[in-house]
Amino acid sequence: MGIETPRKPGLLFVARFLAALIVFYVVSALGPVNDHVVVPFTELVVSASAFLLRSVHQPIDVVGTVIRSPHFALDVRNGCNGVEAMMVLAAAMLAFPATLRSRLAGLLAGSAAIQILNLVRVGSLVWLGEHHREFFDFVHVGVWQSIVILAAVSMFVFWSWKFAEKPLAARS
Amino acid sequence: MRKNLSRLVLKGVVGFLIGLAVWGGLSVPYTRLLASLSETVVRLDERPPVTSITPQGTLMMVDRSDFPPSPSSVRLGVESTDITFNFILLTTLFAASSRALSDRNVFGFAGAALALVFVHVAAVVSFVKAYYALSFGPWSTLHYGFVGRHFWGVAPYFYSVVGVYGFAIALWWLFRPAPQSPPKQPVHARRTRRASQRVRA
Repeated sequence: MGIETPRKPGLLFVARFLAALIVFYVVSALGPVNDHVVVPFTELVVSASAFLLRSVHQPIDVVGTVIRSPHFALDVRNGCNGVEAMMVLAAAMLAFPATLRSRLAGLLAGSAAIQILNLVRVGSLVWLGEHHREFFDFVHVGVWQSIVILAAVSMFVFWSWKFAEKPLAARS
Repeated sequence: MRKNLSRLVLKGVVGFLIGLAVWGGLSVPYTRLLASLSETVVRLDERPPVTSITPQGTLMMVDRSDFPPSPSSVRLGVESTDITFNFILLTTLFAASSRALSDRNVFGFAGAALALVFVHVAAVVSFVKAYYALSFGPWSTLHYGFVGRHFWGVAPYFYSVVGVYGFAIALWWLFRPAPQSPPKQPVHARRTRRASQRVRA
């Protein structure tokens, strides 16, 4: 089987996907959207990660988007709040032929899964920064960023197999 | 289905680990190549060529020979690993294929990896141009128009937040082997079937 969607719209899919990514990025980067949506959402992610870490007996303090342990502090910014993976997922689902209903369902379920994974990412990075600082940069850039996006891509591929093709198949 | 999925995940994990090892192991020499290629591209637009991009480990330091260096001047340093880690994503996506080592998949991966080098060069150029377009006050305003300043101001951040993933996914989609369709019936077999249908009618 492999990571292969049932059909290969090729260039058209890529053009739509990249165009959607640009639009999502520009909207998220607008000052009011960033200040009133992205930053509060990031603070929510940080609070949830802190709750997760406190539940495993880690002394954690939160100030805005900064999560602090006794010897380490992490400022969660765009690129680490899971929004980028949600944008990638949304752009791929928008670019792929499907009904609005299956797109919305896929996006809701996929975004929830990405955010759960992202809580683990932020929590593990704070733990790593506190206890094994020497591995932090490598794991932060090389491992977790790829894992979160691979999760988004896997969800898109699964969605395109299971749901996106159904209405098209039913029509024929 | 479950067995296929397990094999797929296993191949993906192996691909991820290989990608991580190659990326981690070749980051420093690749930074040298990236700095050299990016410097060449930036200089295409300069008369006389004044930009130099010097690799220092995985950091690329940007200087202009027409701006005299001073102890207080801030230099731009572009961290190459932040630009190039999407290679791991590309490797994993190609590895998680039903025929990961088939010629079509391997050549597809090679083509996508080569195209990714151009993406990395474009990303470094966008960081350098953003630095020039936004950081030098009147000089920047004189040399970059309204559109130029805004375009170069946004481009590196777009790449850092979503483009770094988006380009790798797009290249995988374009270069991966197409899913195999069931083999077509030979022409003579179809003719025979039609002929037998005619006879029955």
